[in-house]
Formats: sequence, structure tokens, C-alpha cells
Amino acid sequence: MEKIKKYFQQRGAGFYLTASAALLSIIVAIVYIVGYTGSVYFYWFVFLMPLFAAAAFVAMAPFRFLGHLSAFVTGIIDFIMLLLFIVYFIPYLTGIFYSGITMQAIASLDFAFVFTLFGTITAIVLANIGMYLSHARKEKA
Amino acid sequence: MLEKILNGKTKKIYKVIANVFVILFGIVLAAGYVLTSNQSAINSYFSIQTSYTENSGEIDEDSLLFKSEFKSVKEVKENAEKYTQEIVREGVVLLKNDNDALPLAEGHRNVSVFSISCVNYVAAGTGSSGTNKDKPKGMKSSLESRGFTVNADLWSWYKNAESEGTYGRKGTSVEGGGSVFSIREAPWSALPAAKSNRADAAIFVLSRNGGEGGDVYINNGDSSDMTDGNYLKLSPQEKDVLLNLKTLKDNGTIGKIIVLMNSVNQVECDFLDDAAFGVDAALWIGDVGSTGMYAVADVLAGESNPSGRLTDTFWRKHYYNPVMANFGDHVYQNSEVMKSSLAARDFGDHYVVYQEGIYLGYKYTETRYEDVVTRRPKTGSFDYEEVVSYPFGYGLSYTSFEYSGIEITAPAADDDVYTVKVTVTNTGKIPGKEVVQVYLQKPYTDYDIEHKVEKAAVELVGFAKTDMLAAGESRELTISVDGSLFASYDAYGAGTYILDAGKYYLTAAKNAHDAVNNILAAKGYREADGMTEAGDASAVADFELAFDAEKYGKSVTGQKIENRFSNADVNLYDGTDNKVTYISRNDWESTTKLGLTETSADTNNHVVLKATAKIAQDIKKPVPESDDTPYPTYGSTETSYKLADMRADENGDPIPYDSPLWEQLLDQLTWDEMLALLSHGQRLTYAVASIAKPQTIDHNGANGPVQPYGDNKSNNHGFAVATDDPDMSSYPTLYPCNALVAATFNAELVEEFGVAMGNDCLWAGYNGIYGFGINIHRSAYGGRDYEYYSEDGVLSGLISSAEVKGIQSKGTYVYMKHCLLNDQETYREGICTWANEQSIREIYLKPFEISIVEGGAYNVMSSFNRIGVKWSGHQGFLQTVIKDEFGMRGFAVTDYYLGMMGGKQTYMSLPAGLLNGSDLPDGDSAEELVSYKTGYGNVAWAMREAAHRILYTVSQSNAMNTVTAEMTVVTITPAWVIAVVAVEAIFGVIAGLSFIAYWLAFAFSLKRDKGNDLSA
Repeated sequence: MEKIKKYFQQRGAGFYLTASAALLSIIVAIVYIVGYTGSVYFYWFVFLMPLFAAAAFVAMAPFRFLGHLSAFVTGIIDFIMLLLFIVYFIPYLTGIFYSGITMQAIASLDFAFVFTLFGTITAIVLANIGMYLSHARKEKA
Repeated sequence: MLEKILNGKTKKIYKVIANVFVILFGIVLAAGYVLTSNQSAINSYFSIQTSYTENSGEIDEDSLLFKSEFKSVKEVKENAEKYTQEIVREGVVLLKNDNDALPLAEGHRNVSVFSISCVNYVAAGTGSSGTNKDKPKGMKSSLESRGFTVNADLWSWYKNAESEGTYGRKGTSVEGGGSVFSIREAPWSALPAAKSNRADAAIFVLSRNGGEGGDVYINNGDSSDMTDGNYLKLSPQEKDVLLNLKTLKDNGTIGKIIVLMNSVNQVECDFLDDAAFGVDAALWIGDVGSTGMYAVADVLAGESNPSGRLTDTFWRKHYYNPVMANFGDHVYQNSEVMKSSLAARDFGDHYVVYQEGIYLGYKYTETRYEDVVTRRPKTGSFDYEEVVSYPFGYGLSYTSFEYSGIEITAPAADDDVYTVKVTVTNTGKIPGKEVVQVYLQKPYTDYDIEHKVEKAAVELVGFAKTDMLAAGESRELTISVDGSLFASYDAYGAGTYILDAGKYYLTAAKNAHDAVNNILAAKGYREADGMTEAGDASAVADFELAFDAEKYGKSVTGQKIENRFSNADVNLYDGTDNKVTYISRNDWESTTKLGLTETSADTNNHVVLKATAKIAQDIKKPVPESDDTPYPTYGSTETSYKLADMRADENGDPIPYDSPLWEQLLDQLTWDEMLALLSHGQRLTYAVASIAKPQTIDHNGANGPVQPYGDNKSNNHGFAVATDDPDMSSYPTLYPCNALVAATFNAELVEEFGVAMGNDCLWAGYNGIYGFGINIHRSAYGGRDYEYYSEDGVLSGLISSAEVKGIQSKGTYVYMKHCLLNDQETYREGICTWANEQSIREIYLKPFEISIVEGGAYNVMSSFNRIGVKWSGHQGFLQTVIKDEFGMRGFAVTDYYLGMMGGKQTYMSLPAGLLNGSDLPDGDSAEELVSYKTGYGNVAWAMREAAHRILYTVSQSNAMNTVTAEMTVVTITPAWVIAVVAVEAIFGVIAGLSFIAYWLAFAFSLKRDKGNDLSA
């Protein structure tokens, strides 16, 4: 227990930002599957890739060298997922905004769509910032 | 050296650069994928070249397959305008002419024109067929060209008010039923003093606009602008102006009031005979096209005698029309069970039920009228004159005609054609044309009641129009009526067409009401029995026929005719406990429900349907199952035919569709060629280089071609481009609406009109045209009624088939649309349309049948909506009925294909469509068929059949005008696609290099820091 506590105490801001990105990715996956399972908008990759992103972080974070790369890997998987998600949801968006971009049309967007979109973007931003920050505190001499 | 550059200080810079460019590269890749996946649509929209032809064979004018009578665009347009005006002259309907108010004689043509629409009248509706930019000619100049003097001050005021936006109609349909319409008539108080100038006549222009994507307001308009929010009632301001005109007439300031009804969406007509408004004459002019107003001026001036006849029943008030109970938008009860099956533009949780069955328009009003007169039980209360302003087929003339010598004869032993001969005499004082209409009454028998076969009191089965008859002149007309029109469709009994046992009446009449009165007279009824006027029994013949369920049970192709729409009839569809009580003349009283009150309020009398798990399942897109059927041959090199070889054999004889030569040519195609041909169809058919099949231009245009003559130059093989015509940037003529075309009741003129449009296509390089619209005027509120002909299927079919013959004579193949039951715009994408098979076959399918069988129409465009629970493209009737029964020679294209990105998120399915007679998407779906390369032999054979149909159709078209067997088609990659790939490559290289640089810098920094703890 003490080791775990120490481990987390020694983690830097980059670690925590990437961890937040990974956690958000899991939430995105859950919201997406709840919102779209059984519908014509369900794509397995949208559900699985955020989980892979989170899993990559969990798998890499404990290691010193790989831990530095975890933000990059988490971010890139989420980014690829985001691109595919947008590409595959273009028909949905053209349907919603067929008659123009109006407040009414915007309000009719599915919660699951909005959350998946902005949740993933947020996760990418967090992971991206995490790439530039230290993942472990410097030990005092 | 490298290590010095990529030091620890630059590591972060490269990291940022790599980060930015990886993101940009990803975005560019995704955008590039989306763009290139839809490249056919983009190329079509921007007229971008994707192929060109090189012809080493000799072509001269004499060898052209389809020739034009004209030498320039200017001549073509002059001819088109001539026919536009001819159609309008013969199509406008004189509704009312008290005291010979019209025509306005020379010396009495000083007029004041009222209503804001006079400066912006409706030339065409909106949407894909109304996009022609051929500017309509002004009404004032049109009138002045015919000797009228127009109140200039009043006109200028309207002109300014309209251009400043103070007043003026706005009208456009927006997808999803969210139409935006306004009338915004200028009230009397706003008009300038010139409104009270002395004038021989006040002409009031009453305009309404409809269009694609939405129906016009029934009760949801702005009530300050529209009475009861109803777009098809006189607005408060219009009433205000008309009442004040009456005051001016009463005090002698103006001589008479003339109303021009400038709309296909019929405005309620009760005001026309309301003394308070004092209207002396009224002309229905529909949507007149760009130059039709000249013809209207001709009619007003008496230069032309109106001879048009109504193609719809004109209701005094639309709330009397029982269709309104089931028109527009209704959502299934319990629709939440369907939600997960629906994509964003799939309105499969909405439905419409054609509860009226066959009793649409005059078939309702005239039948119920007869049953009132004959005291049929359970007819209920029905006052014909309170319901109908003007019956179907009605129209006045400036002269008068009498019929004599009527002979109606049964078929000879060797044919099945009834013949009606009528001598028409012009008994008036000026020349004119007369329309003779032939109506049929079938017996309504106990068998019908038992098997729910319905029979209208009268059905139009034929018509003819005289040429111009001078005063006192006579002409004998002969009208043939095919015996098959005597049959009725028996969906619940024999499951095919039957002849009932009993007495059949044929009559020559002036309109539908005249016809039923004639038949009533023949049955011995008189005005004292409640008839609105006496009939002419001498114009009627009757025929006693025996029951027969075999004679008409086979189609012209020999195909057995059987039920094909059971899954569109709520009562036969086995997925639900929902039931519908269709309107029946056996019990008008309890089966007829009105949908509106007099103030346009919804009565909620519509059919209520509940969604079930079965419906929720059935609305899903079907996915073909894999099978073991061996695939056809691809890429054969045994033969090397070109498409040009398939037109005629060495003796010059046409090569038929089923020739083995076609199989050999199809064997030559590779899978990839087949895939490309059947995946790209947005306003074109794709080029196939190996067989020298050129890319075609197949574009919108129920009212004529909508693109400039010289559009899409590289693929345009039209005469305007070929001759480098100086006017090739101009737009073809905007023709009058199809309702006006049908109102001519003149098939010969319409065929000539079709030839004029064919010439337009030939010069504009149109190889195919998305038109004509032959859906039905089920309701006056239908947004797209201006593209359609009539409430009657036979009239729609006979007129459209004449138009088809004309246009196809110039080598442009026609896509008849929208097949099927697309009679409203509200939620047209995916709405479940329920109707019984008798009404489908006798009304809604009839125009398609006649256009294909009689007119030889090559193609159809399927509709967005579902037939019952299945999208029209894969319901099955395109194959079993359109192709197998009617023998359609060409192919079926979808309406705009909604299946982007592999087609998952749509109810439309290309592979399921292929298996059910749909051949080509009007759009791009490059990925949807890719996975059918193995394991789906049935789909592969359906693809081959679709390719066969497309290639055959193109081979017979003007696309081959300049094509020889020596021609080669060179496909080219558009510059924008190359640019997309280049941008992707540039970003990829920069991203890759910066990424490598970062990692090298990272590695070097590790090396420098060797021994140090990474976290130190």
C-alpha cells in the first residue's frame, strides 16, 4: 500500500493528465455503447479504441521509459479514433444539418454523439499536454 | 553533425513540429478520404472532367444517330418558347366567364393589375426541377406586347414594394417538411392612389408556390398572413383587395374583375362565386414557365381561345376532401421501438395511409354524387355543389360546341378496343378547340362488396381534342379505349385483374360530372332525383359483360399479374394487428372521415397505426445472404466488343437486348469496371474505357434541362459544345409545369412539345433526363404537385407517354419519377406509405405503366419513401412489376442516394436493391459493393444484369451520337484529386521527417544523458 502511495506521490503532472485522458476515454466508450448499441450508428472501433487508449496508458505508465511514451500512445489512439468517428458520422451530421445549421438542429444532436466528440477531443488535448510535462517528479538529492 | 543539430535544445521544437504535423496529417487524410469517397458527386456538382473521348472514326452530320432540326441554340430556344406558349395557350382553363367578360376586346384593354405577385409571378416551383435560371418574362411587358395598356403607377409601386421586400411572396420548400412559405400580399390601404384609376378591367394575380422537400401549409402558416394558417385559402389581405375592387366595380371605376390563378396547388375556389367579391372571370394558368405569360396575354386578348381542361377536381374548400385526414405527418404509436433502427434522415417512424383507396378526387366526388342521386343506402349527407367548384375535366371556351352522331362500338372479334366516335360542331361565333372525354362506369356488384373491390362512378379512359374549328365547322373524332381499362384489380379475391359480371357504361362527355350525369340519364334519373343538371343519355352506350378473372391476368410481356403490394396494405401485411377501414361506397357514411374542419383545424381522424416489433424489424435495411452461386465471367479477352458495336449487326439490324452478343460484351468487363459503373450514378452513368462507353450526362429536369447548354464541356457531347455555339452559356427554356401540359388534353401537341424538349437535350448534351414527374396530385397541398400532371392516373400516363415519345425520339432517355407513392414531400425520406393494391395499380402505378408500355420510357427513378415497410428500391416491384410485367427496357436509378461512407447509415441498400430491380444509385457508394466480390453470386449476377440494362440504354441513346467502334474513352484523374493526394503526401512527409527528427533528438539526448536516471 505504501509503495502504491509512494508511486503516485512520485508521479508528475504529465502522468496525471494522461491518466485523466485515459479515464475520460473509458467514459467515452461507455457513453457511446449505451447511446448507440443496436443502432445504425454503432461501430465497434468507436467503442474499442478509447479502451485501447486507456489500456495502453495502464500498460505503459509503470515503466520509466514507456511511461513517457504513454501520453503519446494514448493521444494517438484517441486521435485516430476521433478521425474515424468524424468520418463515419458525416452522414449523421449531414442528416441533422440537412436544412442548415440552426439552433434547433444543434439541439437535436444526440447526447452520446456530443459527449463522444468532445470527450475524445478533451482526452486528446489532455494527453497531448501530458506529452510535454514530466511523468515523474525529480527525486530530491 | 546530425547529433549537433538534433541536440537536446531542439528536441522540444521537433516534438512540437511532429505533434502539429501528425495532427494535420491525420486531418488531411480523413478529409481526403471523405472527398475522394464522394468524388463522383463533387465532379458532377462542379462539372469536372473525368474522362474524354478520342475518336479516330469518321463522323459527319449525316451519320449522326439523332439529328436536330435546328442549327443553333438560338433556334432551339425559339422553338422551345414557341411550344411553351402553345402549351399554355391550350392548357389554361377558363373557369368562369360571366357575361362574356373575357376576352378583352381591342380598345378595351386598359387594365390595372393587382397583387404583389404580378411582378413576381410563379413560373415554376422550387427544387431540383425548378432550378432552371431561364428568367421569366415580365407580366407587364407580356401584356403590353398584346396591346394592353397597364396602369404604370400601380405597377411601379408593386415593383418597388416587391424589390424592397416590403411585401411579396416568399416560397421555398425545405427538407423535412419545414417549408417556408408566405403570401405577404399588400393590403388595399398600402396601395397608391393609382389603384383607383379608371380601367376596363382589374386583373388580380393569385399566386402560390410549391416545391421539393416540403408540402405547403395546411394549417401551420402565419395566421396574420394566411387565413387559418392555410396557404391555400385567400389571405386576409387578398380578400381585402378583392372586396375593394368590387367596390370600384360597383361605382364604375373598373369594368370587370378577372382572376388569374397562378398556382398548381389549388387555392380554395369558394370565393369565385361569392357575390361579395364580384369576380367576373377566372383563368387557371398554373406555373407558366419563362415565356408562358405571353400566351396568357393572348388568351386575355382573345387572340387565343382557351381550350384547357382541369386535371384535378377543384374543391370549394379543401376540408371536404377526405384525403386530408391522412396526408402529411403521422407518427406510429409506440414508435420508440423503432428508434434504434433509424438513421438521421430516415423517417421510418412516420407513416401515411391512403385510406381513400381508389376514391381520390373526382372518383370520390362523382361516385358519392351518383350514390346520393340513386339513393344508395349509407351514402350519408353529401351536397355536390357545396363540395365541388369545378369538376375534373372542366373548362370553358369563348365559343360553344355541340356533340352529335355519337357512336360507341364494342371491340371487333380480333381486337379488344372499344371505339367512340363523336362529331363536334363549333356552334359559337369564333374559332376554338374542344376536348371530348370518354368515361367508363363499371358495375359495382355483390362480388365487389364481398371482395372489397371498389368502383368509381366514372373513370377517364380516353380523350381527344379537335384541331381549330371555325365557327359552324364540324369534326368527327374517334377515340379508342383499350378493353383492359374495363378490368379492376381484385387484391383480396382473385389476386389479379378481373372483369365483373354486369353492365358497363361508356360515355362521351365534357368533364367528369357531365359524364356521370349522362350515365345517370341513361339509367333513367332526372334533375328531380337530385341531379345538378340533366344528362345526355344519347351520349352513353352500355355493354353487358360476364365475369372473367383470366382475360386480364397477364401483362403485355406475358407475365402473370398477381399481388405484389400485399406488404403495402396494412390489412394484408402480416406484421401487425393494425387494421384500416378503407373508404367504401358500400358505406360512405361510416368509412369517410374528414381530416380538417372548416377552419383548417386537424380533426385527428387519421388512421392510427401502432409500431410493433415486426415493423421495427422490417424497416431495417436488408443485407443479402452469401451464397454458392458461381460468379459470372470477368475480364474475358475472347472478344473485344465496343459499345458502338452493340447498336446494330453487320446487316444494320438493331441488336436486341437479349442477344448473346451482349453476354460476350459483359464477359469482357472486369469486376472493377462493373463496380465503378454501378457505384457512381449521380446525374451520370460512368465511363467504361475498355468498351469505349462514354460518361453520360443524366440531369434534373421535369420542366426541361436545368443546366446551361455548354455545361460540363468535357463530357458534353451536345451540339452546343460541338458547334461552339455562341449562346452555349445560356440556360435552356423553362417549360410550363406538367399540370399545364396535361391540361391541354392534347397528346399530339404534347408529343411535339416533347420533341422540342428533346432538341433542348440534344443541344445541352443531356443523354438522360430525370423527369417526368408522374406522381399523383393526391392533395392540393403536395409540395411537388407542379412537377406532376394530375389526380388521375390514366390522364397522367397518356400525357406523359406522349411527352416521353417526343423527348426519346431525340435520343435522350427519360427517368420517370418517383416510383412509387411519393405523393407528398413531408418526411419523404423513409416514410412508410401504406395503400391497398387496387388503388396502387389503378391510380399510382398507372402513369408508370402507360409511360413504359405505350410511351416506351426507358428508365424510372425510385422514390425515397417506403412502400409499406420496405424502401421502394428493394420492395421488389421494380423487378416484378416495372420490369417483368411492364417490360421496361432500361434501368432504375434511386432518388438521391443517402448511403455515404459504405451505406451503413441509411435504409437504402444497393445490394438488396440490385436483387430487387434497382440498378444504380443517384450518388456515390464506392465502398458498398466492394465486399460482394466473393461469396455473393446472386448479387454479382444482379450487378451484371444492371450493367446490361445501363449499357443497353446508353447504346440506344444520343450518347452514342458521335461514338464509333474506333472511339476510345480516356479516363483522367481530376486535378483536385491529384491535389488532395499531393497535400496528403506533403503533410505525411513533413510529419514523418519531423517525427524522425524528434526521435533522433530524443535518442541523442538519451545517449548524452547515458547513466542518468530518466527522472533525474
